Amino acid sequence: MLPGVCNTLIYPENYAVFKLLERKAPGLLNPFFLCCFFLLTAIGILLLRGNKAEQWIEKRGYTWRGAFILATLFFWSFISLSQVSVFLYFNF
Amino acid sequence: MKRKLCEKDKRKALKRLLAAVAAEFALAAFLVWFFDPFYQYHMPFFGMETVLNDRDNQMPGTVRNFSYDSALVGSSVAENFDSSWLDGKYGCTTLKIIRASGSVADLLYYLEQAQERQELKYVFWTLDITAVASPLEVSLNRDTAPWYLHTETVLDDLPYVYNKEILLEKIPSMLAYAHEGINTGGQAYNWARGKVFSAAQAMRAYDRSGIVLEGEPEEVDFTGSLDVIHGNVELLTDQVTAHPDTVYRFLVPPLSMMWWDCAYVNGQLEERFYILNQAVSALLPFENVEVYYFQNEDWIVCNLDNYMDMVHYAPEINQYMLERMGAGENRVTEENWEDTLEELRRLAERISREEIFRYYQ
Amino acid sequence: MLFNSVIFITIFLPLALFGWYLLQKLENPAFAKAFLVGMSLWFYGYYNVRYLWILAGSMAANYLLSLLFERFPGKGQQKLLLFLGIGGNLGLLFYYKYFNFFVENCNFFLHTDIRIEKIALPLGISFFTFQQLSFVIERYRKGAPHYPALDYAFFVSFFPQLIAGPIVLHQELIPQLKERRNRRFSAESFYDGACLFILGLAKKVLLADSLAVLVSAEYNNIAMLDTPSAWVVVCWFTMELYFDFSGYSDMARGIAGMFGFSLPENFNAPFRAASVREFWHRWHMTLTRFLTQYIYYPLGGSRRGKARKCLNLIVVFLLSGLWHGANWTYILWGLMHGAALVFETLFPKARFRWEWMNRLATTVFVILCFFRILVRFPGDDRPAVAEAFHGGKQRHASRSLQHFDLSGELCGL
Repeated sequence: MLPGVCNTLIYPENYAVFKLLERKAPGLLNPFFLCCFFLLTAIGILLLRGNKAEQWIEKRGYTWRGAFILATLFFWSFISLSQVSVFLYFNF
Repeated sequence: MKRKLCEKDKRKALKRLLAAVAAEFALAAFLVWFFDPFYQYHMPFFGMETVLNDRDNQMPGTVRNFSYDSALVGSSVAENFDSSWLDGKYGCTTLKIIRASGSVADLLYYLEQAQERQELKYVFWTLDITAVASPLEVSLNRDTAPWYLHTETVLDDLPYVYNKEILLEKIPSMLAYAHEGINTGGQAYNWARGKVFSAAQAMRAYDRSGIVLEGEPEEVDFTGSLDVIHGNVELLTDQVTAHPDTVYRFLVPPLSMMWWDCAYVNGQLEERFYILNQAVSALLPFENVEVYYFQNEDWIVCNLDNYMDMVHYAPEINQYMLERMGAGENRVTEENWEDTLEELRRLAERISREEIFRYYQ
Repeated sequence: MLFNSVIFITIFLPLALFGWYLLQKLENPAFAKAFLVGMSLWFYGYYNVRYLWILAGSMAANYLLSLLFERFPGKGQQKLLLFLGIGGNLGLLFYYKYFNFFVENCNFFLHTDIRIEKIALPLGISFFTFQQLSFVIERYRKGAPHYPALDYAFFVSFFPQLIAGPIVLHQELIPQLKERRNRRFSAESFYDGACLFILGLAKKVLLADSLAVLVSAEYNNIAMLDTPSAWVVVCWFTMELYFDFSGYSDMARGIAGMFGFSLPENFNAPFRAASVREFWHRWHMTLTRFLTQYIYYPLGGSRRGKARKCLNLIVVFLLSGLWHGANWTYILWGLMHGAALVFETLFPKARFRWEWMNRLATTVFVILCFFRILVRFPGDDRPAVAEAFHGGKQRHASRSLQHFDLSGELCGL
C-alpha cells in the first residue's frame, strides 16, 4: 500500500528518472518512489528539527557557497511558481 | 570570536547573491532558448532532431518558425499520417496542423497564419464530419490557451522561459525522443505507439448490447444546426477560393461502423449525410480541389480490429489512405458523388441491420 | 496577491522597494509612508477589491475610536469606548467569520430554519482585527498614544503582515517608522531580509507544495488507505502545514526586512518542544502572545490558584481554536490542547526521563491533534483517517487542499 501511496510523487525534479525507469526498468519504479518518499520525509524532519532560517543565514548566508545555495533556492522556487498554490492559512 | 559583519561585507554578500541569481536565470534562459522545446524562437539547430510530441503547445511555434511549403491539416485521426511520405511523393515539405476536434475555424486559425508566410503548394485536409458542425468561432484565446505561445513578442515569455516543467520535463523528453527517433521526421504528433487497435479495445467505447430499439429511431431535427453547418462549409470554400494556386486534397476518413450505428440509434444519420453532402458538394466544383473518399471502404469500417475506439483507426489505415490518394484512387468527382453518397446510405443501413451484430450479440 | 506569485516577485515587490527608497530621499517621510500604504492596499485589493472596503472601514473606525480616547478622558467614557472597540472589532469578525457557523448551529440545536447566503470571509480579517483590537485595548490602558493617521494606516495595512500575520503590536512597528536609520537603504537589513524571504519561499513552494502532492492525492483516495499509509498522510500533512505557515511567516519577515523593518518572530522550531506548553511558545508565537496578554492575564492568569489557572487555560485554548476556524473541529482541537496544558499544570512531574522522549511525545500529540480533529470529511460520522488508524473499513471522502472543508457537526466527533 505504501508504494501505491508513494506513486503519486511524480515531480518535474524526478520526471526524467521516472520516465527512464518506466521504459527501461519498470520493476524499479516502486523502489524509486519509496526513495523519493524517504528523501522528502528526511528533508522534512531535518528541517523541522534543524536550525531556524535566521540561524542558517547567520552561519552560512554570507559566503559564496551560501549565495549559490540561496540563488539556487530562489531560482528553483521561481520556476516552480507556475504550479497552483494557495496558503492553507488563508482561511483565517 | 566571529567578527560581526559590517555594512560593507553585507553589501558584498548582496552583490554576490544578485550575481548568482542573475547567472542562474541567464543560464536557464539560454537553455530554454537553445533547446526551445515549443519552437517559439527557432527551428532545431543544426544536428538536432525535430521532435513534435506536444501538439497544442508546439503548433503555434512550428507554424511561425518552421520552413515548409505544404500543410497536413486535421484532427487526431490525421496525426498518424506519415508526412515524409507526402514530401517524397509530391516533392514538398509538409507541416502538420492539428487540432484535436478538427474544428474548421481552429484549423483555419493556424492555416491562415501559415499562408501569411508563404503561398502553400498543397493542403492535405482530413475532413471530419463532426468538424463541419463545430462552432464557427475560434476556440483558441487567452482564456483557453497559454497565450504567450501564440504571440510573437518575447515580453510575455516569462512562463515559458522560467518554467520548471519546461526545464525538467519537456527538454529532457525532447532529447530522449530525439535519441530514440520517436515523433521525429514524418511522425510528428504520432500517438499510435503503445496503443492497442483491436475489436475488444474498440468495443469498450460503445455499448451496443445495452441498446434495445423499438422500431426505427426517429430522426433528430437538425434545422437548428444548419447555420453552423453552412457557415463551416462557407469557411472551407472561402479558403479554397482565396488560394487558387494551392492544391487542396481533402480526405474523408473511414469512421468505424460503431460511429455510424451510434448515429443511427440516436437519429442523427440524416444529419451526418447532410453535413457530408454539403461539404463535399461545395468543394468538388473547385479546380484546385481534389476529394478522396474512404468512408465506403467496408473492409475497413466493418472490421473493428482496425480501431481503438469509435473513430481512431490504426496508422496502417492512414498509410493506406495516402497511398490510394497518391495513386489517384478513391477520388470522388461531381459525376460520381451522388452514387458514392447513395452507397454510403446503403452501407449505413447494412451496418445497423447486420454488420454491427457480428460483434454485439 | 500572493508572495509566491510571479507578479509579486517581478513587479509588485521591486516597485514597492524602489518607490519606498526613492521617496525616502524626500525631506518629508509622509510621501514614502503614503506610498507604502497605497501599495499595501493594492496588495490587499488585488485578491478581491470588495474586501478593501472592509479593511479601510475597519481602519477608519478604529482610528476614530483612538481619537475619541483622546477627546474623552473620563474613566466611564474610556470604558464605554473600550467596549465599543472590542464589540465593534469582534462584531465585524463575528459577522464575516462566525455568522454562518452561528446560523448552522441555531438550525441544528434550536431546530430553526434560518437560511442565509454564505458570507465570504475577507482575507486576513482575523489578523488585522486582532491587531487593531490590541491597539484599542492599549489605548484604554494608556499603553499607546494616538498616532498620526498615516502611521496608524501603515501599522494596520503594511502588506507583509496584513494577510497572515505575524500579529504585530503597535509598539513593535510604529516606532520603527520614526527611526532615522530606517529611512536609508541598509544592505544589512536588505540582505538578511532577502535571504529570509528566499528561505521562506523555498519552504512554501518547494517543500510544502511537494508534500501537498501526496497528501491531496491520498485524501481523494482515503477509502483505500491502510494504517501505515494513513500515518504517512498524517505526518506529511503536519509537515506541510508547518512549512506552509512558517514559510509564509519567514517571507513576511523577510520582506519587511527588505524595507528596513523588523517584525516579530512567529515560529521558533516548534517541533523541538518538549511539552505542549513549550510548543505554544514556539508555534504561532504572536497569537499566543496576544491571547496571553489580552485573555489569559485579564482572567487572572496563574495568580488565582490552580483551579482558576486550569479554567483560564481552557478558555484561552477554546478561543484559540475558535479563532482558527468557525467549526466545532477547531474548537475541539483547541480544547484538546487546553486539556493537555491543564494536564501539564496538574501533573508537572508526569514526564519521561529522557528529553527526546518528551519531544517525541509532544510531536505525536500535536500531529494527532492536527489530524484527528482538525481535518474532517464531510458526510462521515467518524473521521475516515481515524478509521484507517484502526484498520477498519473506510468510507470514501474527499478534501480540497486549497480550502479545508470542515463542516462542523458536533455529533460527528
